[in-house]
Amino acid sequence: MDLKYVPTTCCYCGCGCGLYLKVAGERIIGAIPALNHPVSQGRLCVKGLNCWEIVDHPDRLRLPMVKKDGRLVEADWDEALDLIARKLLELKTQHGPQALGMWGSARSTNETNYLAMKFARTVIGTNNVDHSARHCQAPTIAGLGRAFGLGAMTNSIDELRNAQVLFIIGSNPTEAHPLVGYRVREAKDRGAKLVVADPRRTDVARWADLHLQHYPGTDITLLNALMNVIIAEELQDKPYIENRLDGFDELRAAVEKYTPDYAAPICGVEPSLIRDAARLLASAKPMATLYTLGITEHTTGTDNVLSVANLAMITGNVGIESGGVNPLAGRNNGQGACDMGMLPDFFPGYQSVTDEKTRQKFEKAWGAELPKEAGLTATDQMIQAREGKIKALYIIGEDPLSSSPNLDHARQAFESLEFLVVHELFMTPTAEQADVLLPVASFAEEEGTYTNTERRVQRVRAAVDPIPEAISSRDILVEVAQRMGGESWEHRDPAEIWKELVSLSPLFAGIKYGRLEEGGLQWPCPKAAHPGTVFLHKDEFTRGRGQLHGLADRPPAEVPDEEYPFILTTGRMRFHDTVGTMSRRTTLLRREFPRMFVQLHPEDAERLGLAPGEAATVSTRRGALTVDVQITDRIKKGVLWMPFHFAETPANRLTLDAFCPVSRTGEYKACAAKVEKGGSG
Amino acid sequence: MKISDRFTTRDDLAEALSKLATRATVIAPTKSAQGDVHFLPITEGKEITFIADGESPFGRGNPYNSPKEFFFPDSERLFSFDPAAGHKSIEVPEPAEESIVFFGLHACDVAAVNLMRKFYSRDFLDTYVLQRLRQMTFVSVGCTAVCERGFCNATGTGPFLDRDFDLQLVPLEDNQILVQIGSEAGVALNRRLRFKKAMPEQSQAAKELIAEANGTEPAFDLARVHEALKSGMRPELLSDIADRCQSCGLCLFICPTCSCYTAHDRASARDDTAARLRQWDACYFRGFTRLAGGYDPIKSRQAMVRRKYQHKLLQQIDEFGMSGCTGCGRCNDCCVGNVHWLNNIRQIGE
Repeated sequence: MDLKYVPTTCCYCGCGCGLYLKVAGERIIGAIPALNHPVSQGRLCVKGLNCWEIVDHPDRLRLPMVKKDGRLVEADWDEALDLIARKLLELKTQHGPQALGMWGSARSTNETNYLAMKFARTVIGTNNVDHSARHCQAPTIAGLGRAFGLGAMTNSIDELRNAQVLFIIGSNPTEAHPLVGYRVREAKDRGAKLVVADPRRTDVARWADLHLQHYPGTDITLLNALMNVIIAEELQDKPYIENRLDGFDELRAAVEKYTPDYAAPICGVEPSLIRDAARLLASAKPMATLYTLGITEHTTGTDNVLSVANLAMITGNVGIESGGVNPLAGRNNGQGACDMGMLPDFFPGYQSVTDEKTRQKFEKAWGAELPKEAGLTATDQMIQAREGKIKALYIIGEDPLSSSPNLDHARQAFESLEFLVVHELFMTPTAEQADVLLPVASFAEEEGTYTNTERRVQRVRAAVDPIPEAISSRDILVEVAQRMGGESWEHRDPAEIWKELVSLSPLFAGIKYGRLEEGGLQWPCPKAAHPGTVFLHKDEFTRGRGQLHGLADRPPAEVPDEEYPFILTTGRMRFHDTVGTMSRRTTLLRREFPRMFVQLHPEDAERLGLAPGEAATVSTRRGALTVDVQITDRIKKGVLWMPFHFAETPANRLTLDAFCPVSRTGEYKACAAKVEKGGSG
Repeated sequence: MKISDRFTTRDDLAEALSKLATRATVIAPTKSAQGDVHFLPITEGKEITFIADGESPFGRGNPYNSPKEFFFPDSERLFSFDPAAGHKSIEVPEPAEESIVFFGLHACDVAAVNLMRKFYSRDFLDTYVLQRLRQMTFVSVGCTAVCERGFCNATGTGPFLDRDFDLQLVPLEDNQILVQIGSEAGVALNRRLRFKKAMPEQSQAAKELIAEANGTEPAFDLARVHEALKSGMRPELLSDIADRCQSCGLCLFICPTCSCYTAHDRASARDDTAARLRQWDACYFRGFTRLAGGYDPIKSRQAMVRRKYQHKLLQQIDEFGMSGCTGCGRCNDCCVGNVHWLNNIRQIGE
């Protein structure tokens, strides 16, 4: 009997569950959660349990393709790779390296992202490197970086079970991060108090002691009001503020006007509920705060993060076990791609590209002259592509033509490009636009590491060989680099790439492949004997003292009016991954939720004469979609909710491309919309 | 069947299994690189790892994977075909000629295999499952006490079985093992393993040990649970379970007696074959019962989650005369919503 279990890490969300792939001969036939794993502990969500199915899916891209006469046709590897090298060199020579951009992937391994980042900075010569965290946790890097000195989840997933109080704002962990959702349930069962702020009555909101059902885009109003009550009633942690924080006077002045009575009509939460919540949040320690895209995906994304950090700090909850500020990364390696310097302003390990000494270190190690200025974010690369300034993009495993806000504008950007390279598993709207499209190995067909949301570096293993013709993105990058004259580029195994990376990044210096066999290691891990760091900012913040910020609320870039009277907000479901590329090719997942829908409140539905299951057209100033109606009192009146998993009816046709001025993250979570009965024809 | 008991020692047994592994497939609990114990094929007796427990020489508690996947795999290719050529190209895989010895499972899992055999041999014979089961001989090890997660004494399926096993090992003192033979397959395997005849006092010691282990206080009264379930479940309990359940399906996938599957035709990117695949399915998905047009005869999440309780602890008892839950305990601690199967059964029986 030919059956083996291969331990690896799940390819879906940032929880980073440990699982075994069951391998019979050359096929993966199933998956089972690891018991001896700090995150999964014998559990997995429905996506993880079904993650094996896409590996042999017939839709996998089978051969390299190049565009000829406007059509993608199959090509051999040499032809495809030669074309990439020739075109990139040509465009670099004609327009300079700043006309090119490189996107890594929150789905790919650390080692692939490291090579992609290095390729862009050395072979192309640009800092125009980025990836989908731009529209996810970029405000965390900016915000928590300013407040604490390090923009990452402060504590660990399993600690959450011992929190006394949990504050969840703009996060739906039972859907988007089920193994975090499990810790919330566990904490609640152990007697923790739970406060949830969300426009929808999510699972955790139903479990909550208090549910603050605020309007999308009013987070700072609500948070300032909570802090107003805490400070007015002197519930803040005075010794902690004195000993560890700066900026309290500024914060106090800023929140002074946000009395519950002032905030209530703006955020839509009763003043008494705001008071009760403030008291509950300050009632016990540790209080752990969780947030996700409900906080970050706003034009005020960075300020939202700072505001969340303010509340956690003045209650003395940062730097303690089972407390902290805990942003949850959406993708399996969103954290890792950021860690690897797949960002326009950072080398690996959050070392600034504009710091002279750091740059010299990397120039010496890589034997290349490096650009001195920070590069363009993915957001700005798209804007500049539309303006004709960015000529080529090289995209590894991401699908911005599904995931960008306002897809019409995104499409214009891609149509303006002279050259597009895409690495993918499946055909996607972005892949269709490619001039060269390359089939790559899936998560179960290559070795490497992912880093989960709690900074845990973990092994991912090849359970089977890649399907014929597909190869690892890592190897593709080496081939292209060699063809572009990168003399030092050679094929190396991932452990060797990792070794180079840690030699340049003090945060990860002590992490070696040999130490990752059982459950991984959490950075910072500066030395070989260091056990890794379970929670950050103990005794001292990374930046020294924690920095509070006085913040004013700002409405979303587009607010409801007579013509578009609803607030449209978007989000995740547990049965699907981001743009559904994998989950919608998985039997049980696709079957559970096969179609796009819009959620609205029964009173809104009644007023519009809408019945459950009938077709309605949701439109914004960007576009319209005809979808099924789902009527539920779980959503706030005046608010519409749509998932973003369905490529043929993409919610992002409706969303607005307004961006946080600091992090350049799109405002996916609030725009003005209307609903009409029937199809748009 | 009454065949006289046999006798061996731990060392002799390990050696016998190593030898056997050269001629047959031996599946046994074994430790993986990441530190978990699973049932997997082994090549040497020393790979066998029982889940550590100071008191029970063969450990207690179960590997997380159940024996079910060795005769009813998570997914399998029922037949392959060339999509262009149609039904004439259908090829049904030849079942592998294989003798499989499944060693080291506990009584609860043997009972589960028995139930699955009954389930797949009703009016519709599942030849794939039954063919594999015919190849397998089960060598179970009794537990000297009910394990931490399990509750086999409440479901009448352990810690020792009194019938419907092939070979059942009873750990005696000083690494000695009494071997009970309970079936024709057991007789045949005993012939291959050449165990010696046991002495009457060894059989007597085993009998006493079994009586003591099986006589412990059960976690609930199965008859009361069975009776209570006839009138449904308390609404508070049901709505609590429905509120917690997130439809991952894991408690049903790891259940050694859950038998549902779905089937679909699928080509493979790995080669150019297409196949009819069947894969595990579960009644905790809405898509499991939802019909064309969106109609779902299971009206609520409450009705959906009730099914597991009523099917295993009411219907299957009526149909097979044995509990559909064999008390293995795997699903007590697998839930992202913290649903605890045993605690809920207790509440039903109160």
